[in-house]
Amino acid sequence: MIVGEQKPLAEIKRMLAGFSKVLIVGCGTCVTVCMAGGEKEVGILASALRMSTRLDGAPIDCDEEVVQRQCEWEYIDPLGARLANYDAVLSLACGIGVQTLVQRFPNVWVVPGLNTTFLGMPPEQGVWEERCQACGECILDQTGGICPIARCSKQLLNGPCGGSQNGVCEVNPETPCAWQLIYERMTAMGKLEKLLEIQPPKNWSTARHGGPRRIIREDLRLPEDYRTA
Amino acid sequence: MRALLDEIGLQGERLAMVNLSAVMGTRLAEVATQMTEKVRALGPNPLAGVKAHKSGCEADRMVELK
Repeated sequence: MIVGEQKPLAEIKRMLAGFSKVLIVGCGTCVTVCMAGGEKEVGILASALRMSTRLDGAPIDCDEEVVQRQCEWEYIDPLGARLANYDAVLSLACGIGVQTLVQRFPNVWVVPGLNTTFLGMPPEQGVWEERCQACGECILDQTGGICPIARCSKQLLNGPCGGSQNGVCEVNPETPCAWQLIYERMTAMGKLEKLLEIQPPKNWSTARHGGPRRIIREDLRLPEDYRTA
Repeated sequence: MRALLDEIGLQGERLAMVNLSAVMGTRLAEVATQMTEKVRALGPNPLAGVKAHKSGCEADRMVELK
């Protein structure tokens, strides 16, 4: 999932300074599951904003809305008719949701209530960890299903480095050494010899290094006359 | 929740959670007394009497009533 965390209330209030009527729009997908921007968080933030801005002497009237997926036209289109009633929209979706709203409703001022943080999963309740960097060329088959791009601080392809101590990373002792995990997994699966293959430098043009990325599936595209946006 | 109340400006100390069993009546009275003293020292709810937005929501009006 895309993992995010809510911005501090003071920062959100700075972004909304001067507005008196705001619609807070949550998203029912990733940020609901990571408890940053779903229905519950929209409700809590709306109440906090109402009370806090009243105490500041500049009350903001906040309405609440949650759409199932803020990153697709079909889910945000029903918002369109309501948006004229607000000075601004505070999106509690990831950065994709914010930009989808901006692209669909170019006359509406939209600000982000979350810091979109990484692609990850919760290994336990209340903890989220990065698992993927969307590099565009998956190598999990070579590393026993453990990603050194996302989970090794140095993104080594032929690890571990000399800083791996007692199974943890020298950059952050809270981080398990990805290459230790890879070694243990390959040993357990009887595939340790695979690690003897030296991996050549990775083609980073498929990652962010090649600029913004785009996928076009001609088999799924609508005929030109039917395309929207 | 206390941190959020502090962030809002409502003084997190106004909130407390205490686990008590049904037979701890004396302890309940003690906790209630301590909490009452603490809230008295803090003073009235800062939101009481602060004007809400003219189209304020139900939550705002409930605070105003207190």
